[in-house]
Amino acid sequence: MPDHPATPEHWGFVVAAYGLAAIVLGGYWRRLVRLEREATAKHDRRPAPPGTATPR
Amino acid sequence: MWFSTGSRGLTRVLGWLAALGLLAGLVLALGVAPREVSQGNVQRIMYLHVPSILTAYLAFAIVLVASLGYLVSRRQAWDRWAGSAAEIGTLFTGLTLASGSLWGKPTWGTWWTWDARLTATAVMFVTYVAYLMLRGMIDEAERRAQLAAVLGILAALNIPLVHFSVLWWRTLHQPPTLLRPVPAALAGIFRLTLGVNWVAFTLLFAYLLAKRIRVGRLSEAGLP
Amino acid sequence: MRFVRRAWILAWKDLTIEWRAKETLNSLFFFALLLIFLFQFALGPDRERLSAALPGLLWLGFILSGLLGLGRTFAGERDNDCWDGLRLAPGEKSAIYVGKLAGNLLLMLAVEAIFLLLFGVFFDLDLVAALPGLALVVGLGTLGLAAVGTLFAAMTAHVRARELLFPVLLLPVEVPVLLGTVKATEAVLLGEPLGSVAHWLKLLAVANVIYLTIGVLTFDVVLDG
Repeated sequence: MPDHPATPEHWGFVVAAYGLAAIVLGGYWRRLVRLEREATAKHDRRPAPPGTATPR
Repeated sequence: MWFSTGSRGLTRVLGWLAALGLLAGLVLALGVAPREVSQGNVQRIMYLHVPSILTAYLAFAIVLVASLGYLVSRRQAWDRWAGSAAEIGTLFTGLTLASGSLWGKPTWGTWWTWDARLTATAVMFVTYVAYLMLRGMIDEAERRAQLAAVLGILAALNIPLVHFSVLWWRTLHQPPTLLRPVPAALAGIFRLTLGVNWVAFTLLFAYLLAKRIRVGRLSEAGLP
Repeated sequence: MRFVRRAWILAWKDLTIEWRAKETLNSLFFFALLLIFLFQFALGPDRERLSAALPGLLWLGFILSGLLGLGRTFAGERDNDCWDGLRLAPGEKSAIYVGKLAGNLLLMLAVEAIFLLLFGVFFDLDLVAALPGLALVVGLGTLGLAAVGTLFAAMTAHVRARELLFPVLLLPVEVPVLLGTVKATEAVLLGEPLGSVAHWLKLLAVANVIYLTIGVLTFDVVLDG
């Protein structure tokens, strides 16, 4: 690899792109995890239909 | 039924595979792959940009199939697939645009240019944002599914029309050409890095899709 | 041919209502005039800059007035509580789509004709020579706008914030039509043969086929579910 490349390095842009992807995708994933947790909790909390209740 | 509690295991496996793939892809893209001669290190953004748009296309293909599936069968599960895929596809399209912009600034000197590919992607982006807006403005689940399905089909069939019209719009007086795929002449390591990242993104997409569908199924109001 | 008859009756009803009140038509004519002023003010007195932009401005005008007109496709039924009447009408619902489409087409073509006339007057264009080519391009483009617009008007008729959602849905989908018609109009106004834009005309034709097919096949879902 050449020591002084002819074109400037622009690592900032590369980091920005990957960083943005990480933040956006990671943020979306965390939102999904949170929604899933809330939805599961609500789902489990719903009263069981009559005749099927089991002691917990 | 699809995605029942049992397949939480499958989702988890997908998640771990995706994480592994992304890690491998990242190492390859930022470390192993050599610095490209003409563009410099900025070219590494392509390992994010290209898989992103490919994943988006996959997502919108799913929207098309799921929309058709819903109209034929009227089962809500199809609609959950359509809405979830559209949401994630739009996310990846936005990421494609952003990464393209971050690539373009150092390469072309400008944050945005109305070149054929970026423009077509931008149009696709706003089309599916509009699709999500329609979904967001209908409260009743069945009605939302019906209208979204029709729009989903139209939007998907419009994509090739957008693609060709934008392409010809940019290549002014040249005779119309077919879409050139990702440049064929890629050396081995570049192709490997791209391939690994593509697989990783696809796995990530599958994982997020599974999670999103599950959320939709569990939440009483269905998909927003 | 009961299908055609149903479509025809619906179109005739709408056109008669419109002809008697002339609300929509007059407003759109006036809107077209205002748009021309707007374009002139926005682009300034520089004749050359304006000339270069004319095909685009023409279609911007068509689209903006089209948005207004198409958005109101089912306003009559909605405001007068006739929506259920439409839903419960016997026979294929796609006849309603075709009827509404025909009405919209005529309305839009009328407004576009006036717009073209005003364009010719205010921007000193010789449109007569270009007329046959223009007619074809305008016809194809208007059909493309109306085909999707009529469908989306029904789609958004009972959705929250429909006046906002309608243009938001329509404009992205119409990008190919916009590009094709502007490019083809440019060629026609420059006196170039239609053959030079044959690929654009084919694109518009294919788009129209796709839009019309989807409209006809899915209208009953959109209307009713």
